[in-house]
Amino acid sequence: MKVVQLRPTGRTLRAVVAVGIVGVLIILLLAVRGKLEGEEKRASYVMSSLSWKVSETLLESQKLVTAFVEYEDGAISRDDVIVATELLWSRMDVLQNSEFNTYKELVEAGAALQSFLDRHEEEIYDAPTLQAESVAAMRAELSKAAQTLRAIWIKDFLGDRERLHDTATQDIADARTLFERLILGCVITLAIYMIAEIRGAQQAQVRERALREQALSASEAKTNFLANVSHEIRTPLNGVIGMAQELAETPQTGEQSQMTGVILSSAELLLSTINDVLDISKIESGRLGLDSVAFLPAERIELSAALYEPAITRKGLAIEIGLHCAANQALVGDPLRFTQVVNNLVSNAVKFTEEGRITVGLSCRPLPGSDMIEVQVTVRDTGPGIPEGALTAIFEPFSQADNSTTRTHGGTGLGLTISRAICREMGGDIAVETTIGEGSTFIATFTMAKAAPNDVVASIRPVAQGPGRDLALHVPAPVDMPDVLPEPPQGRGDRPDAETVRSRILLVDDSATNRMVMKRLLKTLNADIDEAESGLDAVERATHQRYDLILMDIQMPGMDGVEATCEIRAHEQASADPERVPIIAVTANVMAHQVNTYLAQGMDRVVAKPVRKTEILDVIGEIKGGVALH
Amino acid sequence: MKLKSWVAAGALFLVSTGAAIAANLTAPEGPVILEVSGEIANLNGDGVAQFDMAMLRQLDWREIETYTSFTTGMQSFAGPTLASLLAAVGAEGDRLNATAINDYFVEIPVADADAHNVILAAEMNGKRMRIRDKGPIWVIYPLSEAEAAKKPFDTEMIWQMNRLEVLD
Repeated sequence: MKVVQLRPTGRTLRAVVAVGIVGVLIILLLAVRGKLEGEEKRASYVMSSLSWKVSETLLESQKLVTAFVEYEDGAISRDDVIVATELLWSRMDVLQNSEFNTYKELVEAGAALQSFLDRHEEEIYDAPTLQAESVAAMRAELSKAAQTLRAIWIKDFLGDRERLHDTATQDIADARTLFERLILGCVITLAIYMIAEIRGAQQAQVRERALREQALSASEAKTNFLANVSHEIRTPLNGVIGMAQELAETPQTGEQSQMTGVILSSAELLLSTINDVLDISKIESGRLGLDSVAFLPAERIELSAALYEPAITRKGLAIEIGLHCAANQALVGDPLRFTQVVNNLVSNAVKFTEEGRITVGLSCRPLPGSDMIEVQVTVRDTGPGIPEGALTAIFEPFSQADNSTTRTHGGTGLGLTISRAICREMGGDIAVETTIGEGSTFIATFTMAKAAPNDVVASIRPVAQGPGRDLALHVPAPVDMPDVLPEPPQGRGDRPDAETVRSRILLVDDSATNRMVMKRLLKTLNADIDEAESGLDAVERATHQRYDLILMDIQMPGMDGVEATCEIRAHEQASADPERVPIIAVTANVMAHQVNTYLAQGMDRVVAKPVRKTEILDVIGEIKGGVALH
Repeated sequence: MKLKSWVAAGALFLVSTGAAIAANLTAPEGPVILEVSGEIANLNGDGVAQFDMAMLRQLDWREIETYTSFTTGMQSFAGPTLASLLAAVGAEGDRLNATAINDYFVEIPVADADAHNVILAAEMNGKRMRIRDKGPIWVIYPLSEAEAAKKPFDTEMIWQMNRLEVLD
């Protein structure tokens, strides 16, 4: 956390430094421009100034030479020669003072002229007479010195101008080099900054990804943990519910019957809580995993109403169903999740309504411009209504409108959270309208596609239901199942009788409790029941002994139920008399895709754990050609 | 009113007296150092006003300490102000054409004389300037060291000057 807080500060600081560098860079560039312009001006001034000084020196030298000639001719006086000498003399310090003191040849030529003046000063100025011979000698010497200076100047000014220019612009070059280095330094600093920034961003990305993966795997671990825990709880719960049901069928005193009822209802409540928690964990990890099959929403509504009818009647309420949607309108979606939402809304209505009626409505509205249908389920009750302040809270996990410790209604408070998540996942939402004292209306919407004409519709017949039973755990039977159903037992031998020809059933489960519960549930079948405690054991038995039915657990150590089923089916295919034994999967893993996998792997039906007696007997009855064996 | 009139009258008297004195420019006795020509009222030669050192010393002679870009460190110069010379010759122009012994020349605005207290320096550090020392006259614009470094009047500061022509 500390790192997260510190990093933006560091980044800001770096950005400020970078902007500062850019600013310095701009100032430097401007300074360089100004400086170079100034230097350039100065250099050209120095150049022209030097040219002027040299040419003036040459002129004065030449004038003195001329003065010597004129003096020899007697045309001018000695004073005129002195003035000419003075004029040349006045150039000397100017030349020596010039900025070109590094220009050695020029300085030497100037020194030669100075030397001439020094040596002949006395003779020109002070000697009693100025002899014609010595004037001629001085003239020759000065002519030569002037020629030397001129030659240097011609050579350098015209022939070696570049070197001259380099000398003149030496300062500029130095300044330019310095500034270029400074600018290069700034650019490199900026480049390093940018690279560091990019690297930092990359590292942050990597770190972020790692954190996200970590969080994801943590969430995954949580979900797996919940799934495992719920599976582990469901198995013993299977025993509790099964045994309690069995117990309820034995002769009991009124008190005992009441206690058995409490055991049973407590176990059912625990089961639905586990299922809710599991659903929440799936929603939170974004792995709700919706199925996509064709089904009839109207049928599901009726089924749901039928499910709660006993409870509604018991509370003295009335139920009304209004279907504004064709009964045979098949849509593509997740029928189990759809039913789960409807059941949740209806059960809430039942739970919170003490008198009056519950109205369940279904309407279908085609969305313009597509073949999508907006399905709307309304559940209206005449309960107490929901206070405005609680309208949002009721959709929060573990929350009810009455959140006091002494709240009158049970439940995890997860139902609406789950339902809303399901609706949203299915392209809709849940809304609620409520009036205190009059009741509430929950409106669940879904967006689903119309089923194609040749889609297989997952239909479900109402089976005997008990109140509070979560329909989501019921598995729809595929409609094409009858094709693969085996011959009824009567098909073998002469009109067999249940009394004389006992069915032989193989019961596969690694849990001894589960096997015992199942055996109790199947007691009325009066069948011979063999037990196998592993997949391998099951395959061993099934390949050596003919069975009329196999009940197969899925999750077992070593070879699991699916694998065992595959082995058995393979053996059947290979044998001389390929007769197919019906296999019913008995499992807690009843997600739609899981069920489809089991069916594809050779199982005929899937029954959810914890197993209810009526359900397993019904399924067995169906498989045996609609003839109940009990 | 009265006072002003008196001041004005006094000023007029002084100017006319000066003009009268200048009008009678004496002829130089020593070697001619400076010859002024052009638009001038007072002459002592053929269309010219000639000055020897003694005459120059009678003008508004000043001794100043200043800096130039041609020299190193503070220098002391002495000579008449340009303004006093122009007054002496009754100059009636805006521009001056200053010419050196070797015929180098430069134009100087008459206004500079008062604006910059220009000196016609004949002595440098207490000594007469020889030609080799930029004599006989070096036109000096008094400057501080910092001002001198910027070389604002290097062109106008002609040395070895011996002729001055007043132009319109």
